[in-house]
Amino acid sequence: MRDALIRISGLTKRFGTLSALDNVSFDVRPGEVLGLVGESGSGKSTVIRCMVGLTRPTSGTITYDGIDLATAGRADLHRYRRDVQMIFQDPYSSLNPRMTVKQILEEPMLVVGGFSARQRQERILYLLHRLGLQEEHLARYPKHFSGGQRQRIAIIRALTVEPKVLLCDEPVSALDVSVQAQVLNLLRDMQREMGLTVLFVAHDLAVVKYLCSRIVVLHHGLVEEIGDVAQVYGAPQAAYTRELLDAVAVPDPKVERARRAARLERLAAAR
Amino acid sequence: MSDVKPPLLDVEHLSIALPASRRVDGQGGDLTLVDDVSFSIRPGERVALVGESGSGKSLTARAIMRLDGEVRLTGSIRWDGGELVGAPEPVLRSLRGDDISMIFQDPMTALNPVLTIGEQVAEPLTVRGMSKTEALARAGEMLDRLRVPRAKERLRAYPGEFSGGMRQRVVMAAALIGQPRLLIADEPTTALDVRVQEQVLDLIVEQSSELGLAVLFITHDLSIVAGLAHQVIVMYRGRFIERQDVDALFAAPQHPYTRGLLGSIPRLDADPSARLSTVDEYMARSREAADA
Amino acid sequence: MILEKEPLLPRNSISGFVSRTLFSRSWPVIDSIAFALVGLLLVLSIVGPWLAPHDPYAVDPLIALEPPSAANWLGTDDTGRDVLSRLLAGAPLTILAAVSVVVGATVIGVLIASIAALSPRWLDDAIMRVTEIFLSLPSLVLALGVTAVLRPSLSSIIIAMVAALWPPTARVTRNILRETMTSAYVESARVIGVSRLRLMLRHALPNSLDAVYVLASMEISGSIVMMSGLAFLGVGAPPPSADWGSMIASGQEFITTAWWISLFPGLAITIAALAFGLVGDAIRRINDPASRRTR
Repeated sequence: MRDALIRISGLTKRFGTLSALDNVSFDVRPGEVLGLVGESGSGKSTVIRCMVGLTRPTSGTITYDGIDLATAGRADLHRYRRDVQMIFQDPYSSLNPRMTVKQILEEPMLVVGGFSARQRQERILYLLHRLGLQEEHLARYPKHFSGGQRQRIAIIRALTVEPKVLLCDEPVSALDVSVQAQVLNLLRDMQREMGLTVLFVAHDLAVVKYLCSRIVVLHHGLVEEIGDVAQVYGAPQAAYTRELLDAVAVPDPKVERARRAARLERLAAAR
Repeated sequence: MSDVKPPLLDVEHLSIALPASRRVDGQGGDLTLVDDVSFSIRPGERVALVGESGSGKSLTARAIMRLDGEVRLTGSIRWDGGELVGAPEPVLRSLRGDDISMIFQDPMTALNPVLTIGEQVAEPLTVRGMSKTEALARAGEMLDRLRVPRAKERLRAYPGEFSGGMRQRVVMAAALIGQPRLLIADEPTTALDVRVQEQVLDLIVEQSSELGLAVLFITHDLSIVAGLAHQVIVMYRGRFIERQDVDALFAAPQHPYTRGLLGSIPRLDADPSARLSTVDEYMARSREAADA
Repeated sequence: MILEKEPLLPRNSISGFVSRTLFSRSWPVIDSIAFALVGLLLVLSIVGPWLAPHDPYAVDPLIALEPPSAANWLGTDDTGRDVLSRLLAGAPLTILAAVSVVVGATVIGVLIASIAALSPRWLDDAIMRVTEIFLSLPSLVLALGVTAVLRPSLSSIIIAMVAALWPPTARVTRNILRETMTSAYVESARVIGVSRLRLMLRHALPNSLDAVYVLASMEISGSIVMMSGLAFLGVGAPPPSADWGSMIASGQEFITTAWWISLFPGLAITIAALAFGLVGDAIRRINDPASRRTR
């Protein structure tokens, strides 16, 4: 078993003079849940978009199972498209409003090919029930579902083709708090059940800590820090990481008041 | 926070309904969006109104200044003793921007891109008759107070030159320049990055303490409420389901929904191997306990 | 009672459209009028000629230039033909002709727009530049050119109009398609590896068609006026065609004396153009608020 299932090497993306990504390199190991964290403009979404071919990098390589995607042949690319699936951020726009749930769920299997009608049906029903939806939902349109339900549909869609890798672009950011935990638990469960490798992009450090074992911190297109979650959160090396961790609010009034007082004191002293 | 002062804002049995004629299909009678809510805000007090999307929190806050023309309000909203529900429009207009002011979620669209920030911050004063020079001078002071770097020089700058966090400060400056007694903040940090969010929240708390400004803060994020509010109200589907002092709420939440919300937030200090409980699980557990 | 769950947004289907709109109490009156008018006009353009009280082409100099009367409700023209009958006979020539122009231009325009939207940037730009060249030709010149090559007739004018109309249709449709293709569900399909053809037929086009319908109804409105204008200028179906533009032309000299000859076709054109335009507005209004999410 290779030590890296996906290798990002020197990935750079420039839009005119703006560097969205600057020489970004990291590995994704088989079976791990890797968090990709950063603020807006950090380039985290751009990394994912390069990985799925929605954006073409200016330079750098993306390697899957030893194969360079830029020079891969049709068969390898086809395998890549089957093995690597993506969950988008906004559940309200990631499902085609004019397709029924059944059509949405079937599409990847039809495109990848090799699934008989019966296999498709079985797969869909199994995943549907596993993720807490019902058979009668198949005939309905996305508009009839809440954000959390739509995101579950999106997850089912990704899992139908038995992928090895799941790329998640902030899958819970657009969801209500009460639904986030549910979807996070589902992702965690499915990852363990199916032995998936997950790349989880987020800006919420607490969410990343819950799901991920390793983390990559991005800032303005540069890699600030890479490491195990326990180590990075416990003893961050980069100043930026420390700043990010400090800025997370804790749901404890006394702690928060004390932290704010300390911050304001620091500010007053600086003036 | 003093217990002796009479409340600045006193809301009693407020209900907000969408009349049948305005509904999408024109049928089904009036749609009740907010049902029988009551709360009060004292001078200098910070109240957080917490709820998810569809809970009615924004509607409730907006009703104070009657920003939504198509809904029907019943009940009472008393500001400084005077009744606002049913009051003529000029009364509300005189309050807006002066006694009560509001900031919104998206700093990117809250500012007019073709006017300078000086003009926009000074506007609440100039529309009330203050001279432009004096208003601009005050605008510069206010921006300085909110720690906008090189404030006086930047008065002639345009919003497009500022980042999201800076724009939110400009918006706040415009909101505070009229020396309001109540600031209504509708999810002002939701669209901002964590570090910027922290700065904006610090500013709100700082200004509120220094100016004796009451704040009604609307959010879906319980975590940021912990260090900010004196009083917390939790809303669910148009109803207030819990209203407590901030320390009491976080220490001992009463309603299962609140407990669920608190319990289902991933925390930095939590044990990562522990499974996150969902709100539904909390509510189900409480139902079982009640049945037992 | 209290709060319903997240209100069910309207379904995307014809029956949903019908129930959502016609049975809604908040349906603006103007939209009903518009749809009713267009319906009436379409029906008239199909059965109109049969309803004509007199032969639209029967010349009778004895009753020429008669004002509206019991025998001729809208009067007679300079050769004694009944204006009302000609109006009814001219309905298909004006309205159905305009509709066919728009259908033709839309089919061609959508086809070219689809190809452009799916192409790599350079090809997309090239196709659009060529389209814009055609756009720059004034329709009048185009019409004259086409009728010079083909015999002047209704079909040649329709061809000329289609030639003039497909470029703007293509351009607008291509922009709409490109916009739709930035949606997350289209990107999602691309990530799965959906073929470009399927991407267009399954994802991009179905979700762009609403805007195309609106565009088409506006264009019908414009085409009615344009074709009538061309007919008025003599670049249209040759006499004794009863299309409304030609009718206005034939009544030109008598505008002060026998005003009814030009007035009624003129009114008819105005009403028809207005009706189709309002329908376009109505469709846009129907689709717009319904698509706003309630979050």
